[in-house]
Amino acid sequence: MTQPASTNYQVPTELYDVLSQLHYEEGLPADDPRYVDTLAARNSQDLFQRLAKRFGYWQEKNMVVATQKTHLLFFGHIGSGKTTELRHYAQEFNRSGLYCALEVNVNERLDRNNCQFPDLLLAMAQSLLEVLHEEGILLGDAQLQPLLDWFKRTVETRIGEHALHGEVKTGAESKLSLLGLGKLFASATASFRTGATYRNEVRDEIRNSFGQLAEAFNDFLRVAEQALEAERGVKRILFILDGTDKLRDEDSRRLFELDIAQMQQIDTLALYTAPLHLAYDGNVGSRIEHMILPMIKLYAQDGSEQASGWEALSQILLRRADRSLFADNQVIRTLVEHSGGHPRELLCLLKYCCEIADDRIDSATAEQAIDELAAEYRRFLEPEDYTLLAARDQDKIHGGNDERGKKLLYKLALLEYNHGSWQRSHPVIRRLEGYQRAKQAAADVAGN
Amino acid sequence: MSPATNSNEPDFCGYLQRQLLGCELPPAQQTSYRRLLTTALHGAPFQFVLCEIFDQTRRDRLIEIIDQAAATAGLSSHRIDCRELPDSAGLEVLEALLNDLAARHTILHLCGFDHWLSRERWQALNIRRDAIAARCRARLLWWLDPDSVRQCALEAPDLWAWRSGVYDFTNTTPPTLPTQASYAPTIDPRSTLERTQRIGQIKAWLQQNPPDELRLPLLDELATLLQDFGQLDEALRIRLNEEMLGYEELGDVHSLLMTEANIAITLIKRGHSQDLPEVRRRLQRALELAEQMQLPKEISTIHQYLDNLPAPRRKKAKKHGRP
Repeated sequence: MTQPASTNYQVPTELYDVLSQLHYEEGLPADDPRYVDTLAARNSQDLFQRLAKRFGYWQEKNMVVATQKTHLLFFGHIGSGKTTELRHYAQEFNRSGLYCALEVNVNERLDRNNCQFPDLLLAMAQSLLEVLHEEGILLGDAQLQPLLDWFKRTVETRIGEHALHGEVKTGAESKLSLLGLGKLFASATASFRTGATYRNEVRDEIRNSFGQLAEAFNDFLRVAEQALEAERGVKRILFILDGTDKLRDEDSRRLFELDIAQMQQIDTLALYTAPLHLAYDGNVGSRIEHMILPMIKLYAQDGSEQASGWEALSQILLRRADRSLFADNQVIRTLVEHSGGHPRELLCLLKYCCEIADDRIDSATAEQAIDELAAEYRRFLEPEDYTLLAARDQDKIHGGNDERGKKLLYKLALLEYNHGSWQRSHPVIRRLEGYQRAKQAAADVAGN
Repeated sequence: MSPATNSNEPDFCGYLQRQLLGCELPPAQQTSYRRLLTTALHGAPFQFVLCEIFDQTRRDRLIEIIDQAAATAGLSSHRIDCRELPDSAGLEVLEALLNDLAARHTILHLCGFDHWLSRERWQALNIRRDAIAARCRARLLWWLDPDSVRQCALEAPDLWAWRSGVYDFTNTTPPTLPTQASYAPTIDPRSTLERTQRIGQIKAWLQQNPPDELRLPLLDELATLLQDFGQLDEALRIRLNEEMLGYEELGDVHSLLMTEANIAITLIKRGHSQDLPEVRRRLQRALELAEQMQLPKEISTIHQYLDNLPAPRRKKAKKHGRP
């Protein structure tokens, strides 16, 4: 897990220490002191409430209203804070005492290089079995038997008993336990992760007999929820699947376009992270419930400043680097402005400043860092990209997405605000000659 | 404590040494070198670093410099050449190798992977990046040509979003020579960093063999800068072998005077007692030239230096006493 320990954290006062603590690859844990509440800045103060309602949670009254199942996609830009936010939401759900929110980290449990819906189901089952065991929940043999029967029939016969490390003895005389069953599923997902040759065979079998699995899994979920309610008052289990936004494009489309129907046969509450460009794919966006984690806004659509956005991003910066490291507030403002409201881009600028600065980050350092980041975008932008970006910056409204626009969203050259109602180019790109030329060309055309 | 943590402790000598190591690089690459070194030595334990370069000879020299600099910070580095991998090696082979080497080294250089990194392998790297980051806690410096770096952005966008930076070493254009010689002020207000960058800049200019009128003042400034950084022997070599000869040929008496005095000052700084006669000889020569040119300020300064020198040791008189 990412540094630092939550209790003893001191904001670094040396540039080298700032640098050594910048980890792009990890989201912040729920109680990390570097966490900044950005919901107001995203104009999404009610995002958790809205999300909670989708899962039947009435936060004001702390009660669960009946909802049998909800499968929801959670979209957002790469690096916009989805993982960090979801960890907070999981904490909120768990704090209510009414939900058991389970984070299923796809990266840890599965092979993201080759991941399909059957793999996810096994990982969900494994997570639930582990939590029930950790909580000391006892389930009777009869309650576990249907799931084990399905497993033996569908998975074990193909994987072979030896591959499952003998976790559960075969035969009707076996004594079931949550731990044993959990290990059984863990062995199966581990075999999947290591790319065992029988993986596709098992997947096909799961697809072909999905109705039986859905029935067994749904029965098991009901039993687990009843047991959790009896022991802890928990009413619903909520699966939060993080990492599904980072699958291969092919797997991503298969999962969210083709497997949706099967996914929705599982009577549970599940949230899946998904890449932003899929939100504009008619096959996905219109067929499954979804929400978008909006970008932090520095400006409203009319160009007026959004104080909450500036404050949130300044705080993100100042929880990573002590104020004394910045020559003045204007430097902080310059860096925030050029992040475009994107937290990871802001951290990237901070990193470059630490590399460039002698002892303090002054305006010359910030300018050089911005130029360096801009130069990195220059490497892959094509002339037509600049044309599109310059045009979007003039658009009052969001007039629709084409493939190029989706690609630029994915690569953060184009940033969108207010749940996608308007878009702007990344501010560092506006410094590039290609952008300036495209802007001038657009102005010339308008002038004629 | 890990070596990486150690490297974050203030170490001015090491810092200076590392900056000087980069002096031989073209000025256009100085910023990239300094940034790369900072992140490689002081950045997060896992980093995906893209170093853009065309020329393999330059790449190899840069790697040598970086490894030497890393060693001054107590960090171990290792180089992986793609040709050492089996022909058919896939990402899993490289991943296993990285995991193994990361246990022993802080910095791993990956060289010659331009052709190996096909579209499919970039995509696979994109997907496997979490697993690599979790198990391979090292700074991965990928030495690639610009086209491969572009492919990374296009084919592995999530990995690209994790990049620790793109460091450009493609620009080898020599700087434009100044039209007239400029001198650094007597009291140098420049930071250590600015001065190390200036050394690199001067060396690059000198490689273009400018005429003596430009070359000699540059050599003089270079010698002064090197002297400031404690590289006294090199400063002396420049003044004795290059500046003196050059000014004598030009017949520039004032510069000869200054060079004689500077040689004496450098010898004093070196602190070898056997240099004292030479110091005195150089100062006397400078004094003669100053008097010849009637320069009262210089005469006064040289006198002060001479007065502060320890008195010459008297030769012991041979005893001719009887046994």
